Amino acid sequence: MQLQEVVCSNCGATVEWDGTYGKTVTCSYCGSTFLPAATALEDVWLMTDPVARARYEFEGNLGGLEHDIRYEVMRGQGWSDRDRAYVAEVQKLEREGIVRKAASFWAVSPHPPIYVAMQDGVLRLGESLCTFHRDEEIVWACPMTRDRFGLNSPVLIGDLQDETTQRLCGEMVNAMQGRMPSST
Amino acid sequence: MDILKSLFGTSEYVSRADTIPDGPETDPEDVWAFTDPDARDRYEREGRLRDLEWDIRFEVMRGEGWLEEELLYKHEIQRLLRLGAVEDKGSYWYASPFPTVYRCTRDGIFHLGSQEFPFKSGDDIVFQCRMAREMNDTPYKPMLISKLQPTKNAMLCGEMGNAMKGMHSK
Repeated sequence: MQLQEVVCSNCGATVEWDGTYGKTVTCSYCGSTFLPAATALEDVWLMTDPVARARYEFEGNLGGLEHDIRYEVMRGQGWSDRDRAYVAEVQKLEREGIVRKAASFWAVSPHPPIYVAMQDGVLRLGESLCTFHRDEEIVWACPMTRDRFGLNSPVLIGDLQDETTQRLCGEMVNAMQGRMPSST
Repeated sequence: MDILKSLFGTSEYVSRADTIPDGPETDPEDVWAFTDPDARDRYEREGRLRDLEWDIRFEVMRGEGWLEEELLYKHEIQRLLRLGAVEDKGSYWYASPFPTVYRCTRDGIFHLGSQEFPFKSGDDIVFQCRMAREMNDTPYKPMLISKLQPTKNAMLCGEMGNAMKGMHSK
C-alpha cells in the first residue's frame, strides 16, 4: 500500500498515512492521535466535520454528500479566500484555548463543526471582525445560510438549537427560488 | 471464554464490568474501553455490534483516541475498585458507549487530575461521553455522580438530541 503524507493536527508535523479513512493516525513526533481530515487530500471536505462524513460513509451515501458539497455548497467552484480564512482563524483560536470544538456539527451539509467560545473574543476574517461572547457557538455559514440570516461574513455566531434532521444543502427550502404570481 | 473465566479466573477476571481493578493501562485507541461487556454482548446477539462499534468510534470518540480526562476517569475507577470504595452495580448507562455503573460503598473523593469530587455511600458513578457532558454543561468532567434510576430505553450516542445543531429562524 502506498503511503501518503498528512499534517498532524496538533503539532503540524508531516506524518505518513496509509489512506484508510476512519482509522486514526498517531503522530510520530508529538504522539497525539487524530483522524486525518480528508482536507489534506481532497479540498471538498475542508468544511466537513469528520463525524458527519463518517455518518454518510456508514450509511453508504458518501457520494451523495460529496456531490452536494461540490455542486450545491461550492457551486462547482472552489472555496473562497474568506472561507479558508475562517478555517485558519478558528483553528488558531482553538489552539489558543479561546474556543473549543463541540461534540456536534451543523445539521446541513457540508456539516461544519461547531465551536464554543471559552471567553469573549474576536474572529478576524481579513478586514472583518466578528465579535463573540463566552459560551456562544460559532459555525461556518454556507452561502445559503448567509442569505437566510443576512450575514456579511461566512460565520454564524449565536446560541444554536438542537436539530434532529440531517439535511443536504440542496434540500434547504431556499435552494431554489421563484416569484409568486402577483395578486393584483 | 466466559466459561474459562468462571472456571479458572480470579474474582477480577469474572467481572462483567468495563474496568477491572488490576487491569493494564487503558489503550487510548481501544474502542471498547468504556463499554460494559453485557451491553456489548446484547448488541452482538442482536446483530448490531457493527452499529455500536461505529457509534463509539465516531460519535463518542469523535474519530480520535480517548481524551486525557477520560483516561484519568478510568484510572481513578481502577483505584477506587482496588480500595473497595466502589463496586460494579450490575447495570450500565442507557447511552453508548454503555459504561458500567459503579455503586459507592462508602463516602469518599473522586480524584480527576487536580480536581476532587466528593461522593457518598450509595451514590452511583458512571462515565459520561462528550456529548452528554455538553448537555450537562460539564465539558471536562467525564463522569456523573448521582443516584441513578432504571430506564428501558437504550440509545446510541449519535441519536442524542444535541448531536447536530441548527437555527430555526432568524
